[in-house]
Amino acid sequence: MDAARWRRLTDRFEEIASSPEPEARLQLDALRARDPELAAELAAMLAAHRSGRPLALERELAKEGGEWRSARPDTVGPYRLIELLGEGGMAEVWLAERDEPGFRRLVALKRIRAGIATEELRRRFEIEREALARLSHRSIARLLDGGVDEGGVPYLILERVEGAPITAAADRLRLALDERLRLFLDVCDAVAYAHARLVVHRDLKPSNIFLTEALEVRLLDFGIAKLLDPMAPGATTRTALRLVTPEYASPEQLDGGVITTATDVYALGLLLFELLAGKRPFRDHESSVGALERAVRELAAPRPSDTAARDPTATIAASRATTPQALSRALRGDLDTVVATALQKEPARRYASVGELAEDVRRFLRDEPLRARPESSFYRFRKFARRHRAGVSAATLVAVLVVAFAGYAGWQSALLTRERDRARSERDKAREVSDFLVELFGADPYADDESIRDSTPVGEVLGRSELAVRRELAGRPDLQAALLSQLARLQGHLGQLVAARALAAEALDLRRALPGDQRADVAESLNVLATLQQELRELEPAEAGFREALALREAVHGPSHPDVAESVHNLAVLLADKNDDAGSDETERLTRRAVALRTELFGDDHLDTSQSRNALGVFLYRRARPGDLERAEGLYRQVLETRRRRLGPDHPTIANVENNLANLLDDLAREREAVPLFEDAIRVWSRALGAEHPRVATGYYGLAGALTDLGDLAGAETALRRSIEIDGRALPADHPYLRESQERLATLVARRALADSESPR
Amino acid sequence: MSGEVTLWLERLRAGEGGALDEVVARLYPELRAVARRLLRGERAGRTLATTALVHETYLRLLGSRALAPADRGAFLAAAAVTMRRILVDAARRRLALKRGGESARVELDEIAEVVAAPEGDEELLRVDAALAELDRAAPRARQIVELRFFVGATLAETAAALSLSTKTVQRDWLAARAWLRARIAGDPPPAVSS
Repeated sequence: MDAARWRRLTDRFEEIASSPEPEARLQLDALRARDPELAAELAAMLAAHRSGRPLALERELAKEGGEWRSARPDTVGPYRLIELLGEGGMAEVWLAERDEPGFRRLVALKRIRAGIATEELRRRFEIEREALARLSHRSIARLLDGGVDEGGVPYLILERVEGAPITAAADRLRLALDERLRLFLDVCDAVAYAHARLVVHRDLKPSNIFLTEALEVRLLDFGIAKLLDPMAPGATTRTALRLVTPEYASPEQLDGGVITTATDVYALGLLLFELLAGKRPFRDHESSVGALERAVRELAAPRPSDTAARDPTATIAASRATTPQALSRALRGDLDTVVATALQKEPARRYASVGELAEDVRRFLRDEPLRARPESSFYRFRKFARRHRAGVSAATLVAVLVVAFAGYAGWQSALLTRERDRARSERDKAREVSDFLVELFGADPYADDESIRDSTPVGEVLGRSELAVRRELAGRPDLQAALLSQLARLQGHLGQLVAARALAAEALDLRRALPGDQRADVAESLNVLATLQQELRELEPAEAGFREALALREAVHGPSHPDVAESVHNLAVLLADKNDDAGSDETERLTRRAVALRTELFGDDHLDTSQSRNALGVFLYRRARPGDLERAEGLYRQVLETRRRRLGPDHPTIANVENNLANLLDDLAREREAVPLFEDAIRVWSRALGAEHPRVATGYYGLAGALTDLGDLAGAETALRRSIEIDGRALPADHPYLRESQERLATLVARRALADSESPR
Repeated sequence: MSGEVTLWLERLRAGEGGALDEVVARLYPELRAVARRLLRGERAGRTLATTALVHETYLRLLGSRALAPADRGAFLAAAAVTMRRILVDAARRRLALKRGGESARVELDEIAEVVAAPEGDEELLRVDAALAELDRAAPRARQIVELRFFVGATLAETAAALSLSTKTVQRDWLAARAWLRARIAGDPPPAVSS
């Protein structure tokens, strides 16, 4: 076959293939007279075209929908994808709308790209989602929802931001220097807020910082990039580098060093440079990656004022409504210094926090002298922490903090929560606290698992932290209280209830003694303390604490607020826990209010809503009027489904509801269904909380009951002894759980002896 | 974002060392998707095969001096053709082994053990031979077939990648597909060299 023949084939084929059958046959017959070989070939093609066996390759074509790249669905969960807004190495962002008739809301949908959603990525994505859920700031694109699609790929739903990258937008609007500085301060505010939640962005660059039509700043893309590395096995520094944009990488990112808030300070320095001088500092070295990396590592950043002066066409100055000479003059001095400090190669020599960077920019705007990095107590403390942390893996505690932060539905981040309209001193305090933690622990919250694995037990790290907090923060009762409260929570999560209660009580006393309006903080401490008291079965003081916290929060926030919902929920759970008939109506009312409030605030599919639904299940289970148990089973199964879908099979709150459901089934004489649920709850709790956690004892206690009912007395005794062993270490000796278990053990041992004596030899 | 890929493709064209690594890292999910569609359907070991095929492709591209893709589509097309070539080679080695008998026993290399195309070795080789024949008469038609079959491009995407009208692509595509079907159905299995 040659080109001419192919042309003839295709010409005639199109003609014949598009003709109806009889006419096609006539055409072929006519052709056969002139060129029998061509006619034969065309006849074979026509037959293959109309009814031939498709090639195996074509089956693949049909299956994958003929798409260019990875197979992409039209819908993800309840969202319909409209348009691809952008994609990075690992994630893609879509304009999407919720697929419900009569209701159209446009959102941004972000998902791990098809085909690379490994278990590890999914787990981190979920942790990230939970952490993001705590970020509620006017300058951070809001997280609206999240979930897992039909193919098991996790996704996030974010507020849709219309605008342009901040540098381009500022140029287009020809914003003057002071307007740019004010926008920059908004960016700093958002980043500092995130730092206060232990979230380090690590990928700040203009394309992730949008300016809206209303001249509002929005941070996008919060920390997803750091999750994602397809080449992870055997990753080297260079593969790690692939994840950051070379043009916006800090020296420590190039060198695979520890990433802290200082990395974001550096990135903000780059942003400020570009906003002011119109170019990136190392723009002249961007011809190759190698040259750029060398410059970032070795060359001091040029002064913005010098870069601004070299503007032969005056376009950069023009987009700042000035001339190159005037721009250079305005930048010289203070702004040069601010940028140079932020762009120090060594993280320790940069501004110690985003707050300090912002403060110097504010001082410039107010014509005040810059701060010369005074030897603050924090500065000294950081040095202390650095001197003393040998042998303690920095990442250990931070990992615990982040997991606790993200994982526990009951975790409420009031410690670092600050309403934006509160006094600035409050915000500064929050920043200081987080900087303290982050600096203290050297902290890459998302450090590799290798560095999280550590020989030092977490409890010991917490003990040392407590010591440091007492010694170093003696002069700052506000910060001391905040951190003690935090440590109390962590000790509580580790099952060290008695120690945790003492810390929480101390934090509460400190906060009550502070001047000014401390209602929100006091409520937070009350909440922590009461939660611990409840676990220790000190139900009266716990109830009083929850009631006071609720009243304070209602007074501060009004009736419809996440903190209020949390307090309503906690009080409801406590009253259900007390289980006295007198409080039954109030318990039901509060429990239903918690479900309703959270559904209204967070939606039907949210983990907090699930938590309250679980509580309603517990209430119905305990009340046990006709129909209650069936309703409770339905609620539990719904909660179990939501949590498994959202959190995977190994999350501790899954064990909570498994245990509840198992107890219910046990009561309904469906022990055979109950046993595997108890066993899975024990497995999950042991893995997530450690084999010695009191929750594990709860699981064994339930399992012992079900096995007893099934007649497996030996298995029941083993389980019960294990339960007592664990409880004995974690609970006070006179705890009712322990007494109950011991009584049951005595009965069990007696029954076994009886059974043995009766059984034939 | 996608601008980075463009940047790295530029550097790849300029012959910068390491640029191929960066492109592959950024287009890794796409490459895996292409590999998946070229491999046998759902079955155990598919992940391994996908990974092996992508990695082998990377190694071959690394050794290719002529690689200068104009854009991401062209890069994926080049990678897809390379992948298909790897599958053809693997099929050849397997068939050679099968027919060589005791005396000509050779060790199969790792990649030939892992990867296989959906149509089976003999059809794979027939398609390959037919494509070679098509290429001599109509290189454009062959490119269209490769983009459609190997990369999984739609008609519109194929048209964009080759700077052709959709109508032209549609015409060539239908004729080439019918020709291939007829050729594969009618031809005896090609001879295998051992």
